[in-house]
Amino acid sequence: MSAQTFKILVTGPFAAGKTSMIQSVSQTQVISTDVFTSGDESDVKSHTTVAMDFGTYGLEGDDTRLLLFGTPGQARFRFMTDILKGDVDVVAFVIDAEATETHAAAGVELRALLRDLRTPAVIAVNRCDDVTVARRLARSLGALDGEAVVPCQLIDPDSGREVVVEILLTLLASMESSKAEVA
Amino acid sequence: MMHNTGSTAATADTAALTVDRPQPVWMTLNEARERAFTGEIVFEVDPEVLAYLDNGVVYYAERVSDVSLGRRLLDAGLIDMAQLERGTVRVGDIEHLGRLFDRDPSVDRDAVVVMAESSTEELIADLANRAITSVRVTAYRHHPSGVHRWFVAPLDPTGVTRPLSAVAQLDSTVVDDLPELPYGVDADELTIEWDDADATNAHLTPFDGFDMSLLDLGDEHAEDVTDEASEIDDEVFELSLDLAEYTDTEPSDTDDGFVGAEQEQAVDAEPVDAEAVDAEAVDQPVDDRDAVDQPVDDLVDVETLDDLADFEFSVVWPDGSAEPTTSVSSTEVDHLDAIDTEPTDDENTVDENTVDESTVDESTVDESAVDEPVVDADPELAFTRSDEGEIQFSMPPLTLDDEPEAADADVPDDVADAVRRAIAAIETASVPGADDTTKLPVVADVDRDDHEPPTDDGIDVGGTSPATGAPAPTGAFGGLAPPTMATRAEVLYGQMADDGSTVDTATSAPTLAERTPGAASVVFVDDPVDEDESDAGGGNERSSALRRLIGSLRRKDH
Repeated sequence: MSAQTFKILVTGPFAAGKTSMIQSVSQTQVISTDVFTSGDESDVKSHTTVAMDFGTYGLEGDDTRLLLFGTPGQARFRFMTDILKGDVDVVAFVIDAEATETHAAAGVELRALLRDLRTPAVIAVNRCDDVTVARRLARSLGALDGEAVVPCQLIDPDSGREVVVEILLTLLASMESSKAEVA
Repeated sequence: MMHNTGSTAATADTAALTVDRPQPVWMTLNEARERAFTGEIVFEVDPEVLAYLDNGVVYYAERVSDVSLGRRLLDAGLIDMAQLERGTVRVGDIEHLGRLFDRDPSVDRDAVVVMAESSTEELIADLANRAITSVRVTAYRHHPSGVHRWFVAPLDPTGVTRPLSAVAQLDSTVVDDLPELPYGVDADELTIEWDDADATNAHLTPFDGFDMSLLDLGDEHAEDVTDEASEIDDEVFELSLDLAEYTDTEPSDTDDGFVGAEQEQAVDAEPVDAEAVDAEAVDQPVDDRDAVDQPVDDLVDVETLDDLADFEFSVVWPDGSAEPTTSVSSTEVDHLDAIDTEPTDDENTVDENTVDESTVDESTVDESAVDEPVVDADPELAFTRSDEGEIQFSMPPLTLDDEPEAADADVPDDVADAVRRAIAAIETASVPGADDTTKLPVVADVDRDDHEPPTDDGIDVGGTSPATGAPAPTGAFGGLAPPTMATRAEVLYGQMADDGSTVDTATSAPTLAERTPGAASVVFVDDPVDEDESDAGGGNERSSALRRLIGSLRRKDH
């Protein structure tokens, strides 16, 4: 049995809950590159990711590992998403349903992300319990019908794990779909 | 104030649309354009004006008191009632006109769109300078009539390319209706047309304003060039030099037929003074048949000025006059390079004392060609002449409206430190396990208090932010410092294994996950690996590994 590594890129706008999601599943200490915020951002939260977050999850007695990379949410760091998205297995885009002021920028970012994406994507709608509302919001921001949408409450680690499970299921479905096409 | 339901704090991207003091409408529109805003902006004037934007471009605007769009189209006589009925999709109270043109092809789309555009432009122009104190912004809300659909590109039928806004795209018919280029010139040729009526009599070529003396004409051939009507020497290799040949790597279609194609568009070129010819600059005789016989395409297959070195050529002007054959040595190429770099003489005069006498003669400078563009051109972007008599472009000084966000030297220490840690993490943890020491053990319920995090060089631990020294956020670090090469999980648990410690297997032992009704169909938690499947190849093995991961994560949910 050879080692298997799966990489998830967690991206989305500022203060959407990306770091929380990674922390909810990571077994190792999340390599957080948080720094103190300043200016307008300090009104929203005290720390923010500037380079990336990194978390891992592994199985006992198994070489299977899950690596989670979180991008900074600020638009000025969007280049990191462009860099990382080509080297991962699946992308998770996190949106805060209640932070409506971020939705315009989130839409721009989401459409840019999906435009040339070659991997499956999952849209996690944070602070939202209704899948219908989550789907409507994702659609309004530019997601197409094929994209998986998951409502979640990322302040709760269990919810974060459920999102990761959904992400992996999406990846699995994509892999099996590809396999079926080849066959 | 900007009203935005549910907002807790404006981000940098949307805060710019906020109106916190009276300001003209155009400022808000400008900000929206710069931020590529898509959605609705309601300007709270009397009556309120609703503007709908796509990627920062206003595609439709109306007053709240305006009648419906369909009614306006009827009143304008652009459609009749039957067309409106056929083109309208009614769903409940919604009357959607977005598919008007699809449902009724007889509708004059251009007329309808122009009407919508003109009314929008009129309203926005009327509103632009009015002061407002309040706006309401709703992202991604479009006009309920569906007019947005008129202005966006249709979905790519393949579904691969995402839809892009075409609001600001130029109607191709506008381009198609443009008249042909006036002189039927070769597409590779660059022609600059000046607004000045006088200037239209002398259409410029890429070498207008170019100091021909830089080409160093040879004495022995200078006699062939006596005036602008001089004959073209058949023995002279003719190279019509145009700008495209300087830059294009594609084979040029320039041939002898091209020479003289522009004869009817005579350039008022001054004759070359034979006395100014520098015999020493001629590297090869004109009658060098080897050079003449070479195909033109081979000779002009160059990319840079440097590649022109040691080429022999002559310049034939569109009016038929020819400059004598010369060669371009690396010295001349350096001269050409210097055009862009030498300082500019503001007075546009030739200082004869400083001009290289071997290459420049006053009469070789075409004053009209040099000065003509300057008259009407932007005074900050003009031809000038340096002390050495070389023609230069004088560019306006570069000014920055805003200071750069941060120079490299200004990157905060904490940011730099954070990036270093991220890179270290990637290097140490994301590389697939090459040996046993890099395997990731399960960190089940580890009592972190039992393991005092060791201190490593360069990394501050103990609950403080590594760079700032401030208390580390519990959410970010969990009270521990980020792992280093010495403290990363693999090493710690390797040490535990060596010490005989064991991971709490009670909590991490595999158990069958409960199958939740309605959950995804792929439930395979801890299923034994199917031997046949595992033999099938890496794809199955990877799927199997993924299933185990999913099962493990699901187990933690319960």
